[in-house]
Formats: sequence, C-alpha cells, structure tokens
Amino acid sequence: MSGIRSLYRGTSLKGYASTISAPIYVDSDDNRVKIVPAGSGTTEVVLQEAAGAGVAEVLTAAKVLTAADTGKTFFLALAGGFTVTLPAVAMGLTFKFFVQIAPTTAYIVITHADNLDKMAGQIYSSAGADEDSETAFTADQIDFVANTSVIGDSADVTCDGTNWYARGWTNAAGGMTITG
Amino acid sequence: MGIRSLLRRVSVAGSAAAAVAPIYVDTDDNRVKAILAGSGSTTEVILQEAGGASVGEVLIAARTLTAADSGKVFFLALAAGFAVTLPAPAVGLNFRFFVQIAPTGDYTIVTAGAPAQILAGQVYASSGGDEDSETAFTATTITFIAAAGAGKIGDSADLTSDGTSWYARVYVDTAAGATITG
Repeated sequence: MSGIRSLYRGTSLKGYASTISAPIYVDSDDNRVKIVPAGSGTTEVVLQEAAGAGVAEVLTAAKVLTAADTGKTFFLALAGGFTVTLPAVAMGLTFKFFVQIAPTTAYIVITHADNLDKMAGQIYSSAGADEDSETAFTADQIDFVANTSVIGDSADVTCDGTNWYARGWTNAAGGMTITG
Repeated sequence: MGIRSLLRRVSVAGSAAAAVAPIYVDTDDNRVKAILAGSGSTTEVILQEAGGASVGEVLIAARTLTAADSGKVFFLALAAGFAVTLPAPAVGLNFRFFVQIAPTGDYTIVTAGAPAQILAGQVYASSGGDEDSETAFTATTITFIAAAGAGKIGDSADLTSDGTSWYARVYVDTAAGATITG
C-alpha cells in the first residue's frame, strides 16, 4: 500500500538527510513534527499545520520562552501578574498573548537580556484614544497595565532576526504600554 | 516500525487516488506537501515551518508573491519604497507585512489580475483617529504613506484571502499613515 501511515517518535531522529531524503519524525519531548533538511540532526526545522500554530498554552507563572515556542498563543492567567521573557532574536519568531485573567499587577513581556532596546510597536485601543507607541527600536517590553488591562487584551510580537515588532490591542485607554 | 524519512524532491512520485495521497518534502522550500488529486498539479502544504512559514523575509525591492509564500512575514526595508504584488486569491492565503525602514517613497501592496478591485479592509491608528477603510471589495492597494513622515517603523498589515477576495487589517502609528484605495 502506498502512503505514509505513521511517523517515528523519539528524542532524536533516525537516519540522516541527503539530496533525496529528509528525515522527519515526531519529537517525543514536545510532540512536534520536525524535519532535518541537512546533515544528521543538528539542523532541525519544526513543522506545524499550515497557516496556523498548532499549540496554545495557559500561563500561570513567569515563563522564559524558547525558539521552540514560536507560533504559540499564550493565555496570561494570574491576577498577580508575571513576566514572560522572549528568546534571543531570530528571523520569523512570533508569539501571541491574550489576557485570560485581568491583572492587578502587570503582565510584562520582555526581550531577552541580550536584546535590550530591540523593540518597536504600537498599541491600539477600543476606546479610540491615542495610545502608546515606539517608532524606533528603543523599547524592551510590553506591559499589560495592572487594574486597567482587561480580559481579551492581546499582543503579538514578531522578529526580523534583529528586532522585535510589537502590536497590542486593549479595551481601555492606557491598558497597555510599550516602553524602554 | 516507524517511518524514518520521506521522499524529498521537486515533484512527487506516484499519483493521488481515492485511498492514496502522496506526501513528500519539497526540496524548493522544505515544506511537507500532499497531493490530494491527480498526478501533482494539485498540491497542498500540510506542514510548514513553525511560526507560519520559513518565514520571515526582508524585502529591499519590488516583489511578486506566490501562493507558496503564504504564511510568511515580510519586512519592508527600502526607504525609497516599492510595490509588493499579491498572488491570485486562494482560500486561506495569508501574508503579514511590517515596515522595517520608514518610507520616504510609498510602500504599496497591490492585488493582481482582473478584476483587481478585490480588496476590503480597515486601517487602525495608535493615535486613535478615524482612519481609512473599504467596506466593499472595491480596493486594489494598501499604501504605507511616505508623505510627511506618516509611515513609521512598526506599521503593519495582515492580509487574508477567502478564495475570491482579500481582507486587510492595517495598523499604523500616525493618523493617515496608511490607506486602502481602489
């Protein structure tokens, strides 16, 4: 019978890449499908369903993201707030955040310590107010402001390999900021 | 026993049938594709690099996109500006653009083909103003405006196709930083 029925699942792949084959497997560490386009496994590319991030995660505490988290949507879910740290810059990395529980202490999305002053972006408010923005790469963090940001506020960040582009959507004036 | 590797080449071996859908890794873009019908002319990307395509690309000159670019993020990076031409509409195609270098000449994103008036959408400004919109599919062009320094680093646009038309959401810092026009 033709057709692929299953993929190998393990912590590392079997086989190696050549001009006519590209090993592909399910990584048992994170259950993501990965391809090795070159060599014997050091160059991995994480795959996901086309046009969508296959995964989301509810955060209830501080989290340091890695490149393997790219494409995920994170729901921020602790009234006391916490900090989410972005990974080092790399082309194409992208993350999305939604407020699941309104913060009484700010949720903060901050750049990696090696990438300070690498963020530009804008905040848009449903209230129609003039919101915060950074029109040069001079910021470090997005804040979901305590007692102003509400359920449904959101942000996405995207990296061009050098800098981060941030967009934030908030209900109330002053609900979010982008600051250095 | 599991599968260790998939065939990788620029075209697929075998053909689709009611019970078979050949799957392969395209050497052109390292995406996993399935042939859902026929002998290869109907391909569908089923897996691509996480984050939505390989996936970011810095543009420094005019570019005509293809369906294979779907999911990518493009960073617009020539102060003098240029035009990006969209592919023909196909359901699910999507693109994102960010201004990496503020324009002194307009960046434009334009539809292709005829009829070309297949774009609707809205512009949102961080400054809170009443911005441009097209509430029918009567537009052809998104413009990040160069005049008076309106277009800024971080301005962006998201485009999605329903197979017939394009839907645009455009985000800018400054009032009148971008337009959607016919």
